[in-house]
Amino acid sequence: MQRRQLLARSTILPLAWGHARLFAAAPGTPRLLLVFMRGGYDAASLLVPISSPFYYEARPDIALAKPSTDLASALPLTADWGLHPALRESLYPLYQSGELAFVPFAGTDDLSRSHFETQDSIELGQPLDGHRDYSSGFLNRLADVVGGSMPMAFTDQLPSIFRGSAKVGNLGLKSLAKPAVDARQSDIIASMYQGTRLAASVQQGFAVRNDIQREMAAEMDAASRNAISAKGFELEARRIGRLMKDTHSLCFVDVGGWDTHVAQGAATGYLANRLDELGRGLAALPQELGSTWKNTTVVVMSEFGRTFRQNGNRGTDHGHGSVMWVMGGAVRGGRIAGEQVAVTQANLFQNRDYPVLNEYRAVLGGLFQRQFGLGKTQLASVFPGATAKDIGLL
Amino acid sequence: MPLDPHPRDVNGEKSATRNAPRLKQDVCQRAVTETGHGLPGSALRVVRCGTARPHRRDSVDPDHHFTHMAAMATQLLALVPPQPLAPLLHHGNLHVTMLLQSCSERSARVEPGSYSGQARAAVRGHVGSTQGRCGLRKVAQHSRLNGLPETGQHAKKHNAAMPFFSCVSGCTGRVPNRPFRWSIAVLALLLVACAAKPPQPPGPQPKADAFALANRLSWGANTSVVAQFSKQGLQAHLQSQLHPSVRKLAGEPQAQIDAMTISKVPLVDLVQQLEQQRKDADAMVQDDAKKAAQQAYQQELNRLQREATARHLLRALYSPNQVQEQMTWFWMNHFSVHQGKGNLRAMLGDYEETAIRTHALGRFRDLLGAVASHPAMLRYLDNDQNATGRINENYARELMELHTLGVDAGYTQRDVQELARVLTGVGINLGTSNPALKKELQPYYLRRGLFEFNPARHDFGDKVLLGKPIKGRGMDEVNEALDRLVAQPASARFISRKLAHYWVSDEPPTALVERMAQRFEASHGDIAATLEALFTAPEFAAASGRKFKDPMRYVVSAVRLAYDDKAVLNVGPMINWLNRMGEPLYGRVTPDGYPLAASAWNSPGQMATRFEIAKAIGSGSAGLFKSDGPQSVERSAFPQLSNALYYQSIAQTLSPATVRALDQAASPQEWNSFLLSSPEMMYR
Repeated sequence: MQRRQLLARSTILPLAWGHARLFAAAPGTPRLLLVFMRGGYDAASLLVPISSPFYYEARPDIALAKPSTDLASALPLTADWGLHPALRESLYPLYQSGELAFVPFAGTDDLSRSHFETQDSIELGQPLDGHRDYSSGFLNRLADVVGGSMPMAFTDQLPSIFRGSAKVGNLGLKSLAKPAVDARQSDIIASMYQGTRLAASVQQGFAVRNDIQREMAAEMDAASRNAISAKGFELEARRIGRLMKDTHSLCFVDVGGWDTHVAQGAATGYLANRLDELGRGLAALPQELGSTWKNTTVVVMSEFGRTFRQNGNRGTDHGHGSVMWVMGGAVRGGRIAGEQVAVTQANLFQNRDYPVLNEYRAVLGGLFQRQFGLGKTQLASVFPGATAKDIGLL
Repeated sequence: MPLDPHPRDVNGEKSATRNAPRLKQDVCQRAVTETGHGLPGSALRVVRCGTARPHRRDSVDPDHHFTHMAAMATQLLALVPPQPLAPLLHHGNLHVTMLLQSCSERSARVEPGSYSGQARAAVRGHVGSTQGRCGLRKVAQHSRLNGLPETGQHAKKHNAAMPFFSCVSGCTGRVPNRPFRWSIAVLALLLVACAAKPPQPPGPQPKADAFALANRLSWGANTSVVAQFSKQGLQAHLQSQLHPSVRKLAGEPQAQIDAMTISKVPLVDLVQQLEQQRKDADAMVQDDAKKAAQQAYQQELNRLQREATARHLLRALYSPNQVQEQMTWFWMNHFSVHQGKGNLRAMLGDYEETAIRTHALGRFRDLLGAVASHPAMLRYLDNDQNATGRINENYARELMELHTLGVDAGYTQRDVQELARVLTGVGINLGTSNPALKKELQPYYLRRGLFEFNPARHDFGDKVLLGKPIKGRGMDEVNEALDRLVAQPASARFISRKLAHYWVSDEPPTALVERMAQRFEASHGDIAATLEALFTAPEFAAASGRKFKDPMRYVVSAVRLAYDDKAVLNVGPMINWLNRMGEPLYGRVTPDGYPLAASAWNSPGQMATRFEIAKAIGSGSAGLFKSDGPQSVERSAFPQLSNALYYQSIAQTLSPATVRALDQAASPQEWNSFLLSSPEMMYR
């Protein structure tokens, strides 16, 4: 069905749902993608405390070696910190070009060390004590405040972070299967809904589906021309990049598989492979976003870090402080930002984990303030009870 | 439904009849026949309409008005045979019930025997169909009787009232004044609504009523439940549903349930075995073996969760106690736990069976007590961590906010803290031995299965909860606190509103919620009694076909309609559909449970997914009739949606757009998919 016919038939479309390409976020609009690594990834393996002797004592089997000519050693970032070698091709260049920064000792004050609970409390973005409104996530509140952002969760279900009064769609992009309902059938189905309450929703659903069809056709076309085909998270990230460039400016995606209790590996192994895949995907974003990259910020975070010492199975357990990654065309990158301490046993939290010195709401608040030009009241509505802290990311 | 033609008002007088105005019969008859539809002659003979002067010209007594209108409405309804009323347009019966509702709020309490009560009862009795169409427009076209002048604002608004006004003017030769016109207009609507018959044959309507009600009171109408409904009648059916005898499912579904581990092994044994398995796995040193053992433990937990899910779905599909099963879902959602936390997957079956389902139609206080002492809830909301000196407020907060009072009830943070103190020591013991306690504490210790009240972890100080003291004395404090929470009027209202939200509407009428709350309080929190007040309310009847189905209801009702009693062999596909639609059983991460409002389920992406699933269900057996496991059994099955029930009860409720769509189906599979994708299938 031609788009024109679709538009002609739909007389009044509630702006609440908008329409792909009919109402898209304007080209100059600031764009935000939040990537959530579910499972509490091992931050100490990503951002390696290379100047800490205690690190090498605590992790005899899983530490990354100090930077050297050895390809398995950490990549040098600063005197104190190195980067996991799996990111050599993907994210290291972005750090060197000043488009990527890291915020260590970052996280939440939630101490449950429980995946679900901490993820939830982070996504809701509300004070930890007192009444919690489970139907209000902070990205939804941000969408409310920013307006016209065409928010989208690239997930199979709407996550807590996007729950709320602003209408947010969700669209899982991991595997784009050909829809079972074909074009003729969708026309007939849509005709049943004309003039009903659900008419706009049904039409928008089919319209997005058509966009995906187009997307897949373009990908197959590229593949048939023997262009290098991406897979895994890189494929997903490229799709996200294209959709963000065209339409959606406030987005969320999550990546799983980070809960490395057993045999996490070091320079190679399970964790290294996951980091490699994630890195490739993130590095593809500036390519897909093109000119929009300069208005885009990508924040990568996780619910907590892991225990500083390795456990009995050459893995690590649930910890506390983590590392946030912030990248984008306008990001003041090539640095380690926020409050830091020396990595010693004395500075560990409860003698087991990284402490949290840069609370995520303060960091994100400071970022949103500059990214979207938010005022104090607006910030307070996104993160009630928190004070924004600008650590110079933008 | 026979009505007393001389009902008594609250003062026991036949005042209304005496003063009820009359209209010449022939004028009425002409008005009605000229609209192009006819009422049976006997009905017309006694129709009386308001034409007499109001008792007070300058100020209109609303109660008198109401009484007049109610009188006329009653007489009208008494004399119109039930059938033509059955396909009343929503507007028609909705207006009547809402009007009576709003009037009753202003006037004195309505006696069931009075006109208003009878009128309400009559409308209720006639309501039940889904989507008839009123020929209001047709009526307006025909309304040019006697060339009478415009009779003013009200007449303009209600074109259909024209014939009525002309009757009025024709009889009295005077133009009715404004307040009177208002009441006449309403009656005109009534008359016209009665008179305007949608183009349907009279026969199938009773079946359409039974279908609509069965569709709402069960997980989804099918031939069996509609037949049962028609046989029993509404009252008897309601009673058997609200006070169910313990009944098993027939045949295979029950056999499937009986074979489950959760049906055979008590919770204590199950959890203790799994704990042992977990400890053994954790103790392993060798990496590969450890990983494998830990995976096996997780898989066993998953298997047990799947059993609980399957049992829930089989009961939704086949249990004769449909209201009980729906209330089991409702309370599992109200007292929601997340399957992913810890070893909760092993406890789900017992939690649902012993804490929730047993009390689903019983006393709310019993339900609350069972939940508050079940290890699944105590683990999920961390009360097993809550101990004196290491307070954890999580359960105390949600107990008030989500389970009983509701967030707006006016309790304070202090109340949360005090309730948390009351709940210290209420926890779990997964082991086989009890803790060693000081002698003076031993009498306070309690152990029931995995539940434990450990006085060594309890704060024995005195507390103040919701303004009243609680003397520190152990587990009795907990019972006193729960009693107090349930007894709050806020709890009655909160629970009633949520029930009305689930069964009636996303914005349940305040008056309905109030009545239910009163019933809840008067019956000491009896859930069945409160539901009875709900199911017999006119607001319930009026809301037919307007509640958007959440994914659980959509999937279950579709499978029930497609296969009726033919028992599925595998609920796996249903589990997948629920996952895709975002409402897997026990899958809500946060304790607030899945939202009940349409807006949570009708986004563009969700509608698109629904249509995909409609196609999956409609195109074939979808794997529902192929069992899992090494000795997989497969049975042939086809979703026969164009069945007798469809032709008797569903077809006439479909809009022209839906009918046109069905006509374009190129195959039975496609026909099924279109039907399951239709707007009519999205609501109940």
